[in-house]
Amino acid sequence: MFKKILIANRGEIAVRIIRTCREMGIRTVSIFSDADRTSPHVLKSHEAYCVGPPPSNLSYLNTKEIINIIKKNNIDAVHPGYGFLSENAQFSDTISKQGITWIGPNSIVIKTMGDKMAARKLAQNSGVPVVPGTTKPLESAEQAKKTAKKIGYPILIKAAGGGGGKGMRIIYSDADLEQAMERASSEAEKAFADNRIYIEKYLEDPHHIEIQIFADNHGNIVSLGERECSIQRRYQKIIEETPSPFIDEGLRKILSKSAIKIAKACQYSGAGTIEFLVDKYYNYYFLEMNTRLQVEHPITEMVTGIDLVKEQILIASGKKLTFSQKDIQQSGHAMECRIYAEDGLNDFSPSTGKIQEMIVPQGLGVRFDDGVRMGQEITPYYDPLLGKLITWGDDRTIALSRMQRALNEFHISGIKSTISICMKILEYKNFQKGKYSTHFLDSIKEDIMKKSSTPNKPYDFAARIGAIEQHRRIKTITASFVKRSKMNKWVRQGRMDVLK
Amino acid sequence: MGKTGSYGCSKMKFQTTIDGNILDIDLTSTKETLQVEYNKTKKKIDCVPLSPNSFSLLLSGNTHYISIIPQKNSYHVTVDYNTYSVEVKDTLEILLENFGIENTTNGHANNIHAQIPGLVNQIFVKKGDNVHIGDKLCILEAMKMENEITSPKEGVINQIHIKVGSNVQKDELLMEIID
Repeated sequence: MFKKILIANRGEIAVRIIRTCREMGIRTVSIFSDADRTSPHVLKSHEAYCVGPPPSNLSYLNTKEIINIIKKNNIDAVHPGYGFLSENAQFSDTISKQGITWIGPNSIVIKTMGDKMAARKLAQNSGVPVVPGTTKPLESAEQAKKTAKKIGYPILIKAAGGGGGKGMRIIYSDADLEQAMERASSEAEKAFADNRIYIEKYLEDPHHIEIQIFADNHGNIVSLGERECSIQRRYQKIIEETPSPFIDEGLRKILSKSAIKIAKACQYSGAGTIEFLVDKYYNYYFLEMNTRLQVEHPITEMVTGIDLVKEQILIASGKKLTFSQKDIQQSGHAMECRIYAEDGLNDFSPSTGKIQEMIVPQGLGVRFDDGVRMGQEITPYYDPLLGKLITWGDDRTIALSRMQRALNEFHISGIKSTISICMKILEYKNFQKGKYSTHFLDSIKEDIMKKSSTPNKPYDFAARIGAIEQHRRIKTITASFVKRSKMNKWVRQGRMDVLK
Repeated sequence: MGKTGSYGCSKMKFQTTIDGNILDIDLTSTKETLQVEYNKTKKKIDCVPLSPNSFSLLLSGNTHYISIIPQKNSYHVTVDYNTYSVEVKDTLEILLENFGIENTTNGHANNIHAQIPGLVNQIFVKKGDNVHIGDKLCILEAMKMENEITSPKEGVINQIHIKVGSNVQKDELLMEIID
């Protein structure tokens, strides 16, 4: 077994991986940028090394420096987490050539499946349907217009190099096409160091449903069931649950079988996720494969009882899967709310600042995968995910009411977060009934804004509190003048500072 | 917050603004108690500090967890899991104005402010350029998403306060446009 693992990531996923490594008795090595010296992943690991200044292309994507650290510190294996270098075939290849284990599939698989267009071709060849679109990278706006005309607007522009909504745009007409292509291409270049983009037909009322698979190097492939990820904003997931309230047992089996077919076709190894779109008529299409751990993996862990990170490490070290398909029994229901540093009630605009207070929910069936701590400065450099709140219950109703309870307990101040919008989404009857597609959040957005901007109970409280705080300050200042003669000069200066 | 000092009974008026909604609030404080009047209902406040920024509030027996973070011209008030920006106007502000201390405000029509915090990744204009409504001015990159800032008016770029690579805060002045 590995003695020392380097985690080439930051935030909640680095902390998540450190936790499993520690349980397995493996020494953990973190990397950090100058902005992250006191971030939780640094505080929680055994060793930590700086890889550069705050911007990610100079630090967390600085492969040269990361490889230096790997060479210097007797690292046995590298866990890339998700994002950053996790789908960078060249990096994975370099690591492997140094005789160090890459915790994930080999670089050829990453390259094939990471190239969204090559992956589409592979799925097609395996007999799995794909969404209509282009099979080659876009070269010009004219070519894009031609394709758009053929498959019909609206269309999606997507990055060939990666997912997560980066480099993605929805286009309704020729007029917006060129500018959107420019932005998407530039975003893709930054996020994945790959500016290629392609077109996909935009489906009506689709569900985003993905299958978690695991494959070892001994020919075993197992499906761990699906995750329903249709609550999204800007094509980025915000609430996920398993099992999906939308599909039935029949389709569940078909999706699992299709996922295993694709994994087999690309000779997969490790944890992988095959994403599908399922339209309202239950037609399903292969969307893409993520050759790494997913953000939302904890909900699968909650219903299967399997530690996905541990299984990844075991497989990478050459072990066989610790379970077979017939061992996989989903128990109960799990749900996840992503807590982002974004103002959910103001079109998810980024919120930066210092986390002044943070009270994390606890209790039966509640898990919080945290990536930040109280007092931490949230900078605009990285993904705004603060952590993931996960609840488990015997059935969906229990998991849901537990999530509402947990969100209610969650208190973060200093920055705005997606806690309140998650709470609002869960209040909708259609969400509670499990009736929602990827368009759900857009369809209720206006209603949410309207409701949250008319005075309500917490709103009234906030107003009163503001007044009381101002009142307190006036009192303090008055007091400092009254007691001036007896007061220490430093204290007086402090009191006066509140005037600034 | 629970302590009100020893100045006898005093009554103060405050005007608070949240998302453009104005609410008037009266506070009556005595040696021992603090009473808040809002919408013609009077309530006794029991507010006990938990940390420098947070308080436990008991209002008619209902408990709430509150955090208050002072901002430049407002407070960030978190009530349980909801966060609001609350602007408060009061006698102190009038006092300050009388002393001639300027209260800075944003939103001058000719000034382009950052609606979001971020990194300046591209600037499309230079000093002296003519711009029209909708013209691209710069790109602010925040949390890996690129956001295009466009001109809200027609005019000439008079001043550019940012450089490519600048890290700007929300509401920071980016550019000035004159007619």
